[in-house]
Amino acid sequence: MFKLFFLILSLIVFISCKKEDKTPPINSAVDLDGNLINDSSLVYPNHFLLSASNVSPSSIDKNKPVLIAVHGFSATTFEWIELRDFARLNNSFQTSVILLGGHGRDYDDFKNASWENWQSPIIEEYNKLRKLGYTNISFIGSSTGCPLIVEAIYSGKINTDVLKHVFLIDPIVVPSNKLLSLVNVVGPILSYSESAMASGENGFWYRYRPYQALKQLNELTQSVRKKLEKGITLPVNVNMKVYKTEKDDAADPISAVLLFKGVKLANGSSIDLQMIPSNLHVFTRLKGRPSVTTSDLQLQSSVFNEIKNSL
Amino acid sequence: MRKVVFLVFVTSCISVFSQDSTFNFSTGARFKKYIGFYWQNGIAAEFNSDKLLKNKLSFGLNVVSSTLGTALINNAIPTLEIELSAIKYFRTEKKLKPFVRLNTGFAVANFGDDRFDNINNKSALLSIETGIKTKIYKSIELVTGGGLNLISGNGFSNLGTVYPTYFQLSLIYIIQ
Repeated sequence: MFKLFFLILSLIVFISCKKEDKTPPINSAVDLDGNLINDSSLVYPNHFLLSASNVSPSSIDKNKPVLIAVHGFSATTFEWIELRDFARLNNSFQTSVILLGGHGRDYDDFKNASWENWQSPIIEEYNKLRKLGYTNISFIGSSTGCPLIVEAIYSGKINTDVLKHVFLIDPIVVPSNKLLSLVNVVGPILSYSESAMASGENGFWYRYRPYQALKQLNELTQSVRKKLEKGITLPVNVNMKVYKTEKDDAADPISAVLLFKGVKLANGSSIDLQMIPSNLHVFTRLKGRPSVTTSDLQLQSSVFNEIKNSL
Repeated sequence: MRKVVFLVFVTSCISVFSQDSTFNFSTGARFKKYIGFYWQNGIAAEFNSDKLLKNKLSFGLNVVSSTLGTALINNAIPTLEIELSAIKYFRTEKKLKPFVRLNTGFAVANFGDDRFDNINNKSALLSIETGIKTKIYKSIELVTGGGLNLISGNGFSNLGTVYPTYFQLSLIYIIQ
């Protein structure tokens, strides 16, 4: 029995230590993972980043609320295009849509980036806008964008003097797929995992998720969960609202419980939180989905309007 | 109510079997850590008898909670897991006794706010566990090993605090 145990253990160690990763069958003509398709913000940053589109803001611009939108793991700026268009139509606030580091490029860039690399464009854009004189900046994050924002605030990576609101849409602190906790063992064996995508989502998300990136996701969520367990107090005058769908195949709904228990406003009171009766992960993004119901559209519209009114 | 019935049943079984001279009973503390999640600590009990499958199997009870683990001084979610087990020991005459164990039971969590009422807060548990038991001092035994949950939670069809793998350590005092 012991011989068999050691044989299996040696096999797992051997496979885990192998140097070469399997390369996924990327179709460059369709997949973001290839070297033909990149996120549009890399070519036209002025269509996405406020710091690129308005380098000398007027005093009216500086006082108008700015919402920095941060997408999730393996996604691109596409996740917040509907919010950007909503803001343009309403003209009551400005958006700056971030592309996370290591995202929107090719498979190797994604594979080699750490979660700190993912986070750095968020900090960079906030600092640029603050330096340009914007006085009313807020964040909105979806999925993995949320722990990246929370971690940046907790670790003091940004000066929060002009930060007003933080909106978290389907934040991931605990993944729905618990196999992520085994990525260090299973990852080197599998090399990557393939995600099922609708045809309207092709080219906007990485189809193949290298285990190195999943390992970074695991490290980030574990780190933020532990910080939440210890307790996070938001800076003075910063509010937070969490929107979390009740059934979500990416972010376990207990992520909302952990945020509610773990984050307090500066005055010690609880953050605002709303559970959403939906099974869409990032319910605010409807573009590219295979089917969208009237209630999905109503939900998106009501949340966008609520956010607009609270800025 | 179900928990009370369950505890009465377990106590009755122990009381019946304690009349038996071949009955062995031990109890102690169990420390369980989900890989990538919480520490859950509590009690473990184990018994076997010649009258029960001729001592070939031992039976166990584990009751662990994050309230005695990660949630003790933290903002973690309070959880409770109760399991009944069937245990098979190998090399019972040797100092190191390997074992395999099948656990089944249930887990519940308290989310602490009405807004979370629609999130699944309970789950069945079914796990296989393996490890080694050894006597470390007179009547004290150390049981250490790891397990695999065959039911883990995604947060909507099952409780999200149940992770796939765990390791555990138990310190057991042999009572009879």
